[in-house]
Amino acid sequence: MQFLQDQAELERLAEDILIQKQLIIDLDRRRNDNRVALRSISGPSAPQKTHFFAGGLFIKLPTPSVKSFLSTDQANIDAEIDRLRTSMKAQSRELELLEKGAVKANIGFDLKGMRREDLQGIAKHPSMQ
Amino acid sequence: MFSQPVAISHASVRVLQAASISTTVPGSGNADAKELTRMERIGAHSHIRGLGLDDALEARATSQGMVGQLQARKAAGVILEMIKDGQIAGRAILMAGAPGTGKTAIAMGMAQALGTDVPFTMLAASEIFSLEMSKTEALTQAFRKSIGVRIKEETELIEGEVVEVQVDRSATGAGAKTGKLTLKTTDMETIYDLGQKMIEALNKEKVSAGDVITIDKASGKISKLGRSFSRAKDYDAMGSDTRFVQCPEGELQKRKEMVHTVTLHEIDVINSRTQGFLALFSGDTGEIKSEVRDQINSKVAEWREEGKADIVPGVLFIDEVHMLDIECFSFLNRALEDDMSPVVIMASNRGITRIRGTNYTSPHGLPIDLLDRLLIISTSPYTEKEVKHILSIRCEEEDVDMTEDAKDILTKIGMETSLRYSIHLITAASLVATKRKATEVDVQDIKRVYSLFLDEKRSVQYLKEFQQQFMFNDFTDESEKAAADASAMDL
Repeated sequence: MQFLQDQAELERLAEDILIQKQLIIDLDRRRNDNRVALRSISGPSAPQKTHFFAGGLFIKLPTPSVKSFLSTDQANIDAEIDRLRTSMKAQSRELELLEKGAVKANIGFDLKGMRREDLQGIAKHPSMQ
Repeated sequence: MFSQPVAISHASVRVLQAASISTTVPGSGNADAKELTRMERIGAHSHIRGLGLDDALEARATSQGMVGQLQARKAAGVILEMIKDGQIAGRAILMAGAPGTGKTAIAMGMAQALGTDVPFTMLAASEIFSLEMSKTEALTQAFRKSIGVRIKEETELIEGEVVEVQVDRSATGAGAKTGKLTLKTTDMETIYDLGQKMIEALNKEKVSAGDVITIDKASGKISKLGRSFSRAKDYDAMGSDTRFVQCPEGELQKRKEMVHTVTLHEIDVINSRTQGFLALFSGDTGEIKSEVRDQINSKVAEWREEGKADIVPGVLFIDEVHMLDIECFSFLNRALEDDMSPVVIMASNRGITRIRGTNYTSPHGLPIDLLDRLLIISTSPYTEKEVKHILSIRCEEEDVDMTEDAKDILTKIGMETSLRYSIHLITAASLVATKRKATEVDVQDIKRVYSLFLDEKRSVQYLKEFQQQFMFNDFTDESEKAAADASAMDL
């Protein structure tokens, strides 16, 4: 009985991870579509008004407001993808723990991420003040 | 779409790569640059691959190039375990023993056993006496080179197979070029608008349809991973170095995580000047202001608080430590107490001798207060059997075939003169053997080189016999007398 429960739990986790993986792909696709759209309505040759496809019907809206819709959407997508990646990582650790009994220690990968630029410009040089 | 490629940020990738533990480093290096392996030469200790201990920290008689010195190796192994656990930062170890008893070999073994993630700095004490830099600055830099900061770097990159590159040129050929790049994965496809710089970068990498590429989002650096399998039959003739890869799966914009260990010194140098880390390559770091170091220390502490970085205390090995003077010793005393201090391993082959910079004598040439802080490991002279074993290992390392008789003779020479001398005879003897067209080094070759090259004792003997015929020999007498006087005074 315990075995069955464990298996069910494993399946649930694995399913979750797969769903999230697919979700990231879908979101990235939308992100790229939004990006292409934003490109096409920016620049000097952009029209005054743009057809905006919202849930099954086209609405003609002023270009600036379309732009702001799309930008908000982009920001939301970015945040969502970030959240999904983090939770996917946590869940795959959990899955590994359940399957193998121990997580292979990858030193340093549990740190918070940094960017390369963060290493620069830490110190204010005395001669520059 | 992409920010312009900045040459500087590529350089920093390589800096980080030096200490990177991840094997795939996207966005650095391209298909043209072959991966460089560490330069391998046959050095005095190149046969050493570790300390030769088993899991229970017992020293195997012969393993990983190490022979004998069981006690010292075991002690070194215990210390190594503590270093790996990060337990003993700010401690110091002294390896004491006669010349040629394997002190440096044990240090090299420790460095090998620690792996690439833990910084290991090796320096001979005389290196710190330089006109360009004060002694304490050189020591501080050595200390900071031995402390690693482990960070995780996140990069956003776009990975996909090129479907089409389209470049529009204006009719006159003047003006900025524009273009479009279509990328796909197995799940999606999209079009990017290209600017002048990106078009140039694509041309430089010779990207064409069917290539699988990655684009670093922050720097705009493009690298070619290979050609897609599905386009393998596009051409009949293709270079032998064409690498075929699968079309990437999933989303186009991926996140890569890399874990690096950079040393505090590297961060110092990156931040020390306006031109930044270019100084790392020129080697011209100069003196780094203590204000800069303080700011970096507090920043690193902040990262640690935020869970962004780990401190990896490494190992600083100071060879010939008796060459340091009293100022350095008092600096060491102070520096070892710092909370960001590495494990300092020192080696000395001196007995009771004068502390440099004073008239006082002390064991190993170190002041008593510093000695008090040290754990001392001593190495003992090798036995005949061990010497023979070391010589066999060296023969293997230097690719020399030698008969058993010759090895026995060489061992005897090694016992009577010194291990180093007999190791030096190996290659010389092999050259003599090659000259008489023999495949193996035999007793006669050893005899020949033994007569050609003097060891230290025979050289001294020779000097004593022919002293009168050398130049300035009366001067030597004078200095000898002075030395004798000085030692008489010391006593």
